[in-house]
Amino acid sequence: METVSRTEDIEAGCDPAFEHRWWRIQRTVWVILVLLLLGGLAGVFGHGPLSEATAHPSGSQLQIQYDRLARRETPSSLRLQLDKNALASGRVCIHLNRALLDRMQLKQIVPAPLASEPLTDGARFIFRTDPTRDSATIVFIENPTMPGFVDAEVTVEGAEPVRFRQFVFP
Amino acid sequence: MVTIINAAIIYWVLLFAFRLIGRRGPSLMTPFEIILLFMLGGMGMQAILGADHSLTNAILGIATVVMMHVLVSTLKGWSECFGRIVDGTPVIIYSNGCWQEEPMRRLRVHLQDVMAAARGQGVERMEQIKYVIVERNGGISVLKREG
Repeated sequence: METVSRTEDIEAGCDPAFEHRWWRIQRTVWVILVLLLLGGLAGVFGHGPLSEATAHPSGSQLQIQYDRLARRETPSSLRLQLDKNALASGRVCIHLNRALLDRMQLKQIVPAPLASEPLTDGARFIFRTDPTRDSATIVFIENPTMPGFVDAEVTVEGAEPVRFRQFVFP
Repeated sequence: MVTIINAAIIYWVLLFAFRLIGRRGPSLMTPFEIILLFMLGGMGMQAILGADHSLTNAILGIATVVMMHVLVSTLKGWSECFGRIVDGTPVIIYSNGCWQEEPMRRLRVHLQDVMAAARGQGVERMEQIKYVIVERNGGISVLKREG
């Protein structure tokens, strides 16, 4: 049977030593929570300066701005910046790999593609471009569905793929 | 599956969040602290249910929280140490004419709180009080002197 400890002359089950230890734990956790909040402000958990990243291999006609750290079921954007070489033909074909499509689920594409084609290793999107312009931006709005790492690969037809890694928080 | 995992995580997060906020029973809570409780609950609920507003998902979430609570109650019965971590222990803050200032500061209990509890228990003057104890549920017990 559970016993109730006696302190002074009352049986209240007090344990001052435990309460003192708990107070130290409590203060330590408060410090951890403050660090957590500072990390949150900095974007360690997504949606902040530390979570934004750019992939731009040298010589590539494609620059990608993405969220290095995203959150599950929270929209995240993938901004593709195309240089004038990519726009020259008046049409650009962009391939997204299967991991990106499966785990990051596309919600919206701005501007809308002329056509899209499902492939076994991903999907291809075709956009009309204006050859007279120096650059153009295509935005893919993603909705991450699964937590964990996503090894993404975006390819402009005829060029080397641009690879980058995203992490999705639960 | 995600609902069950999220509900279990949120249960433990809230359990320890309330322990970290400090021990303030319903009778000591200010109206703002009651709003705070609802805010914490509401934020947890959004994370548990997500975009799935189906009845099935709600039942899974509720079942998880209920079973977590049963588990915690059972563990408290098995382990005294676990019970202390989850609920704390009673703390004496006034004993035979002396205020224990450090425990009062830790528990964020003020003299006004004690006197309000004392009045509720039929005590009119400090001289009548022998012990004041902050209980595990955050309530304040005032023990009168004999005679």
